[in-house]
Amino acid sequence: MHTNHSKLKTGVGLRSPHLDQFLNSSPNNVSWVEVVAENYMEHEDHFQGVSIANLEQVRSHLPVILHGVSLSIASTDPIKASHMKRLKNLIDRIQPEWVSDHLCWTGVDGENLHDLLPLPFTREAIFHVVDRIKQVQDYLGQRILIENISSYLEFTESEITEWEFLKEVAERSDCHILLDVNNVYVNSINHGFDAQDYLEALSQDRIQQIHIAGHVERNGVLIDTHSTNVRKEVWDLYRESVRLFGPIPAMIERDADIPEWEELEKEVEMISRITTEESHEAEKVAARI
Amino acid sequence: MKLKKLQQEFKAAIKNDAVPENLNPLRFKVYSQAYWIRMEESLEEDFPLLVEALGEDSFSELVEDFLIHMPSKFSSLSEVSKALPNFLSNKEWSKRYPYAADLARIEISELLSRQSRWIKPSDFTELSKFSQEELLKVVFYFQPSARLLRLDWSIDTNEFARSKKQKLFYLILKEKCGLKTHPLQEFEFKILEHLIQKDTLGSVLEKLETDAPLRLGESFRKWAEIGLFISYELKM
Ligand SMILES: [Fe+2]
Repeated sequence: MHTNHSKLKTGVGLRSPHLDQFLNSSPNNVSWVEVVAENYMEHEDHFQGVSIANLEQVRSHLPVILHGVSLSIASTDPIKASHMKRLKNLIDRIQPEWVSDHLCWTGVDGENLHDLLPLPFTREAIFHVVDRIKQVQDYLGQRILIENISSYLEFTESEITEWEFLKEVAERSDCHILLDVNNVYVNSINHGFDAQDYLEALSQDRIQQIHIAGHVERNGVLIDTHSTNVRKEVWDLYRESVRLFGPIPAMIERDADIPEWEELEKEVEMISRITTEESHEAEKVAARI
Repeated sequence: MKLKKLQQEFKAAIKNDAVPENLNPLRFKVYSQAYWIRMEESLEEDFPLLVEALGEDSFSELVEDFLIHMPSKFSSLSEVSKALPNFLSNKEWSKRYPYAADLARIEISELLSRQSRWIKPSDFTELSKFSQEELLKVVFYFQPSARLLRLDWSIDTNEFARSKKQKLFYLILKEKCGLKTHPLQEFEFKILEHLIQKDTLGSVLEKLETDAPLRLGESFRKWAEIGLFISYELKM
């Protein structure tokens, strides 16, 4: 049922305005799609919704990745059994290539703020998150991917850098990383670090997928809105990630002001172009050695 | 546990529009403002007529009041919307906008119905050969889009203030050609209300203490015609 992962090249976050393009065939340059898991988990046990039927149709001809937004892996609440059960049901039904969620918390004391909230980078948080990723992986019977988030503030409690935190969490829990290069860039400006340091700290074998997206600037803060075209600086950082880690399945995330497919397709093509250029470059270097 | 305390303070500050200690106030505002905007936009999208009826300001006030009293415990924002109609039935809001709970109920039912899949009804010809006794043991399976509505208000969407108090019963159904709203008699509503819970026809009639099968023939023909039931099962 699963695709050989080396066949997963460039993908896109599939959103409803572009559904028609994907129901019966796949546009050029797109070899897989990612969907937001929660959008298909609503109908609980019955799976009677239109959206799940559409997703199954897409899945019949294209690999699908499930991306969660409310696992709240870093929350200090117990992991929600009902959420896990629904996620597992969806996995059984859709047979995704893999499943991911964010390295963040979305609420506490039973409440959900429906946002990806930041963490202090402390030892306490590492042990807490690692334990919970292990619980999730045991329950799902597979390794998950965790994604680095955008953040707008830092905690004075932090003891290490964000990339040290991400790396250690991934290693200790033996999970994979979904590297969002836009989030790395946004945080590097918001918190004043060198994005290159972030990338160089990570090891290639942990990174299984890449997100690329657009952001905006408001009052001197970069906000991860997924509402615009990808900025040049983020493309540059993606290029750097290909140099460092080789070709890894990468995709465009667009969640607001979603343009016509023809417009978004140009960004998908851009991913392919950069990946090909850098791969050729790497081959040339290898040939010289 | 320090992390738990940090999360609790962060959450409280977002909701109270305060700033936790040691955090940059301008940066924290990105989170607190985003919270209210996100919640309001999501509810606005699901209840466009309610926004029109209440006006932007009252709707914002409603969202704030709703989230303070009934904070989201759900995985997704669409589930938050499902809780709004009942909140509108509370004393204060029902006094200000007596028809608003019903209006919200209609909007959310239509939305959920629209998101449901249409399933081709199976063949019911065998059913007509069932004896009266067998028919009472039948359980019906409904289209996933079927929503039953019991309303206290007849809502005038051209001029909301002119809405009138009136008991009304409806069935919302996604049919092959699109979403339809069918008015129901009170007895039809009561029967469907039980049948949709997978009660047998016999037990429904018992519960309602009626021996109305004669009147039901017409209703069942109508429901079969619009494809309300997708299949049935004889419970022995
Ligand atoms: Fe992302």
